[in-house]
Amino acid sequence: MVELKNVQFRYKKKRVLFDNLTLTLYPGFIYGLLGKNGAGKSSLLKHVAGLLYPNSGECNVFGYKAQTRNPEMLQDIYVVPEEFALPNMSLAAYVKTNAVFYSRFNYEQLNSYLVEFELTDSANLSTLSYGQKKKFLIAIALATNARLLILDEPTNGLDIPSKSQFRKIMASALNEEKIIIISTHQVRDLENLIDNIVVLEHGHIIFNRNMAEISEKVAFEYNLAGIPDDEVLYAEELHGRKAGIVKNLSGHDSRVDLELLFNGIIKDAENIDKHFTNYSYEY
Amino acid sequence: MNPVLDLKRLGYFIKRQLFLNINALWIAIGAVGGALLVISALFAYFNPEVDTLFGLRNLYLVVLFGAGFIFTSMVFNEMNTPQKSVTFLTLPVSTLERLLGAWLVSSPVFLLLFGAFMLLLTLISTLLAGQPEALSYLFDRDVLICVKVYLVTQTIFFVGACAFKGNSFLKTLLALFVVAMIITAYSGSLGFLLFGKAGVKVGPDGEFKDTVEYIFTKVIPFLFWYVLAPFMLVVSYYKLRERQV
Repeated sequence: MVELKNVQFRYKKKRVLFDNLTLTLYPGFIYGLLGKNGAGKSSLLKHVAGLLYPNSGECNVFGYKAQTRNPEMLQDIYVVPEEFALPNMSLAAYVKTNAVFYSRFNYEQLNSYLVEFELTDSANLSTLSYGQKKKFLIAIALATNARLLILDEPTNGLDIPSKSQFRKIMASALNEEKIIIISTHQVRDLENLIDNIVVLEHGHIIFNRNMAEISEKVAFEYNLAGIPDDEVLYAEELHGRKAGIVKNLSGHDSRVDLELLFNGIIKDAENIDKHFTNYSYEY
Repeated sequence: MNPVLDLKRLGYFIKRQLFLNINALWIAIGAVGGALLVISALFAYFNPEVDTLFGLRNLYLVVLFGAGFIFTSMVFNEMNTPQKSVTFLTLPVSTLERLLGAWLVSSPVFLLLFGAFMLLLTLISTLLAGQPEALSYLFDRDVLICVKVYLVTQTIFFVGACAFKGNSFLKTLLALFVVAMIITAYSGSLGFLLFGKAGVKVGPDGEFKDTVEYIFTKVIPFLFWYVLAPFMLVVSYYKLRERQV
């Protein structure tokens, strides 16, 4: 379990980024951490990985204080950063030098992921494209069998087939022990993948809900004509029509449009969150 | 302070650090070694005197310090490169293992390798100069003192490598210069206050002289030889432990 309790944090000489931020992440779920640029997504991930220390409050990962960077804890964390540089060596050599630190590293799994991503371990890392390097890091991350995977903008640089491969592989890699946190501002890339959506805005968590709950309680309409105003939670112009988020009164689960949901939360989180909180009393 | 140390993991870490930097190491060894070899060969062949051999040995010692300090300043390059720091700091290795691994590579291992290389160069020089017997007295007590001084002073650059993000070598030199200036200014001011116009006079019993002599012959050497290096390594440990990205 990952637990952030009353975390306060500010970068030197800058405004407060996190003010009493509290968040709990449970095993067995893929969390989509969404937010605009500068919302604090990467800083939050760095706190979880023990790379940034809170000014006050606590950040615990599997019972360890994240900032102690205990090797036992770090064996259970793998971070795929947004920006990275890999050394000039073959994939096999890189794996050989790094895999030994992870007691549950599985070479068979790695090979199957490399095959899936169309990478060969004899290739040199310096000759790979950015997207291929990212796929290589994702393959290593999964092969470590770390219980916490932190992926910062993992789909940046991936082509369209690779994005769907990524979704497929991530979904299959999840088990009841694992927590996968995917931070992105490209929300469409996470559709049909994440179990929970956490939205961060100006260092505050403004929305934290399960996808099943979202699809049960709201619906996404691409033409709001004829829908009463009191059922509309959020509306925006889309190709000359009004699209938006409405109360789900059908009793059937709806298909979640992450982009529309994200836009709605960013524009009017209070209204949407209020609907979720009051849902059981209204219907 | 609750350090975690696993010798097997430490071994993996040292191996990883050497493996990741092997290309840069070979280039550095080739460049420095090649230059020293050419210089040694030319000087030993055209000036085959014992003084030349001593001069060459002194040159090797200067290179030992220079190369060692630069190498030490680069030992945490991965941590100080923004695109690599996340990988380095999330590697399942404890702070103590990071510290020990980097120190072992930049101090004893470096000294052993450079020592072997220096021996080879000296052997070539003495053979070219036609004085193979000089090899035995070129490695005298002065060399041993230089090695000891390196072991101590290297830790200052080690702290610099932990503390400064980029250009660690130059920043450490600058910091040393500033510290030296501050100590000089403080000592000068103190001297002026004590021995200036209305200052304290040294008594006839020589008590002040004895105190100063004791400080300079006992306290300062003790601090240099036995306190400075451990202190710098402890500072490095905390710098590494507190390192954020």
